[in-house]
Amino acid sequence: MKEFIIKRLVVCLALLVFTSGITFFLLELAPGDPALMMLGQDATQEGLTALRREMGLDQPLLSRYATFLGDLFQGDMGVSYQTHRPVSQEIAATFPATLELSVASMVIAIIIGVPVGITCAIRQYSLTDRVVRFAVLIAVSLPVFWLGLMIIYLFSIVLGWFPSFGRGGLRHLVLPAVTMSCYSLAIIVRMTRSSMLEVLRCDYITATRAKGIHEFYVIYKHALRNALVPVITIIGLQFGVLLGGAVITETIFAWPGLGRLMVQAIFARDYPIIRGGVLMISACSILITLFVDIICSYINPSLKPVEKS
Amino acid sequence: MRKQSSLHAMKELWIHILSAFIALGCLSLASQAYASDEDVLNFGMGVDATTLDPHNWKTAPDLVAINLIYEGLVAFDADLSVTPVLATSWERLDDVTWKFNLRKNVTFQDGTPFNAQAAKVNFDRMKDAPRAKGIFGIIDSVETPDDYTLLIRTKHPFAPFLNNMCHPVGSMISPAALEKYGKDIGRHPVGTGKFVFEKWLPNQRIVLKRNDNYWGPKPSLTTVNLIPIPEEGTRTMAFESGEIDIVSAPAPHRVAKFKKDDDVTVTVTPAARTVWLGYNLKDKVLSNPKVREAIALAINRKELVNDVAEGLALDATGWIPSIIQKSDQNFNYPYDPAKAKKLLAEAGYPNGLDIKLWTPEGRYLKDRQIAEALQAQLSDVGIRAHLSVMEWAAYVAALFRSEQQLFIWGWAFQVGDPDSMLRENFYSTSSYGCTGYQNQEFDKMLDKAVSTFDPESRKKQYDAIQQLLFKDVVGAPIYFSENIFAMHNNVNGFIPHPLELIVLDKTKVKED
Repeated sequence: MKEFIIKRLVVCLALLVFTSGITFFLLELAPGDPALMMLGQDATQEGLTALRREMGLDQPLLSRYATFLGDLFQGDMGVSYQTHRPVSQEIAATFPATLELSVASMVIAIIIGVPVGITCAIRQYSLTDRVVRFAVLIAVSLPVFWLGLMIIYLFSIVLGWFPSFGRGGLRHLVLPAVTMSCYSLAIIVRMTRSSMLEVLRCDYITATRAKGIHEFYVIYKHALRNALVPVITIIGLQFGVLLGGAVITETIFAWPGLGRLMVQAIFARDYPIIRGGVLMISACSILITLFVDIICSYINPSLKPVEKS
Repeated sequence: MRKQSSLHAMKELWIHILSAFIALGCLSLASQAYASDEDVLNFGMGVDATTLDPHNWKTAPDLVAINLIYEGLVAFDADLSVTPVLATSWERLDDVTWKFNLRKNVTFQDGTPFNAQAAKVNFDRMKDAPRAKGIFGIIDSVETPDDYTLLIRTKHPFAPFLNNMCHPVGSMISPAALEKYGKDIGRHPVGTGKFVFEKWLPNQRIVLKRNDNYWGPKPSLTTVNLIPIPEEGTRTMAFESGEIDIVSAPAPHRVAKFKKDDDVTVTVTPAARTVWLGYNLKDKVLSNPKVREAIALAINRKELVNDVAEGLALDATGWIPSIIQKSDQNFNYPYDPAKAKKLLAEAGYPNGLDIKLWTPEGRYLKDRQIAEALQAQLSDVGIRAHLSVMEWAAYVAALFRSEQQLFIWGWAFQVGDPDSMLRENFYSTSSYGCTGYQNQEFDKMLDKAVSTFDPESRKKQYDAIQQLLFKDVVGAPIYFSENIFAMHNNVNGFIPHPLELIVLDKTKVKED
């Protein structure tokens, strides 16, 4: 297992370098000029040339990438063009907010999604199942942007229960977390339902029931354990999606997270922040996938990596 | 039996989940703490500031905050007349020398005394700050004959000098704070203004507290929260729910709704900005003045301003908005599609022509919609405009490369004087030559006007300059912008400023 984890970590590192390369070169392809964005409309040609030199933008592309990688391996992600603060500081200031939002959304999605999925599987083709499946279809199709605004309208303006924007305590967290959890919740319900249905049809479940074991244990101890493997995989993937997709929710709810920082950085062509943000999100997604693989192998030992003798 | 027990198990689980949610709901409602304090103003704006260093400001929201924390020697009031602030009086000794008598007994918010030496430290710093250089590059030397007198010499006679001094970029920073924080002063601003910087939670709020040691009349507000909410829909809803008291630049379609609301006051005041249809005069097609005039004559501005911009802008009467300089003459083109067609035929395009039309989106009021309407208006005279909508950064970079033909463009008269806008856009050696206009006569006229101190004579010269731009058809002015704010009726004494700033000297937020 240790060997497996080390191997995977090496692959993760390679993946990160690959991602950093893609981000770096794609940004170079995008139209726009960071120096011009910094100096504004009334920039002078001399000012621009001087600033580009200062920012190192006059160097050849490959040499800039080499410098970037070299700095990165020393833990230096550069300095924001806009705020002149280290990228690591900017990310450290915003990432906790994104993590808080993503974790809260995931918690909502799991504590509702898994039991609802199980209920639907147990009561297949019942009214509940049909209603839930219909609701899931709607939840998957709703654009987050629209949903967020509707939720703000209902809960902030009409009912006045929650603040409509910003971060600061549990009350501020509820609306954005609910909005963001919607899509993942629907996916988890569907996955749990289908996975549970498959497991419930297995012979070993029939055998367990034949032994006279209480249905609660049949479902939550014997069936769920196997049914959870694909669900956990999906949860892991969804968590990555949430981290990356927080951009929209954070913009709607004026949530001061990494997503919003990156959107601003994109508009201002603040390359170091964009690169740092993408790297951070990629690193999290890659680590979560690794973590999910490890959990799955504990839940279902048959998924453990085969040790070479 | 099996089904029943499994259902029972599910029910139990559901009861637990439901009770958890109810507990969460109760907790959240119990912690409601949104009671409005009597003197707290929550001001909603589109984007967060990037720095609070006045000499290195970058975006308009920076200036909004900077203008509340800092002061310069002089400032503009709401009708753009120059008023004393840290200077009690001033005098022009000759064409290039200005004498400022500084206010005594003023201290910065950190206790450092304000005097001529402190002012000199600031002017010296501005020399090396790229952003301040644009406005204060004109300064040749600063002398301090005594503790409360400042002599400033300009490189050449420069009539708008006092206007430049009014811009927030000329704010005075505490020399002690500059020494203490160095480059990080943008996060630790210390000025002499009416409000003291308390904290800045990036992308959440900038909190300012009343400066109780302020040298003049203190404002009524004790706290100002500048709150950035990027999404217009959310910003409006936060305003409707009462979480913010004043919202800047609500979408035009909401303005009509707000105007009908008895609890909301909408202010629409002239701003110092012109938006126009730019021509790239270096382009082959547009180098023909007849084509340029034909395009200008094909524009129905009344429709653009009243219908597309929903009446929230002023029909442009020329290049200079009347808030900057009033003129009895009109320097814009009438709507005359018949003449436009005739001119096109004379220019060698009897069957019309194809042309690129570029616009940013969301930068100026209804910019994309204006461009779309223009496209339709131009097609009426046979001009087939091919529209490209671009994101701002890409747009500015493309304009800098001079690849455009027709483009929507706007410029703020940032020091309340005609010179800077005309110079940066139309002067022959202007580095920002996206119009490509080159005319020695224009350059001479502009240079003469900027060094003329007599206001009447200056006005006449700028009228003549506008007439020249009209004759040369360097673009087609569309509208003069307006500043739009919506506020709840409990807000009193809020003054919108033409230079896209806010003045909170007499603002009061009453308790409901």
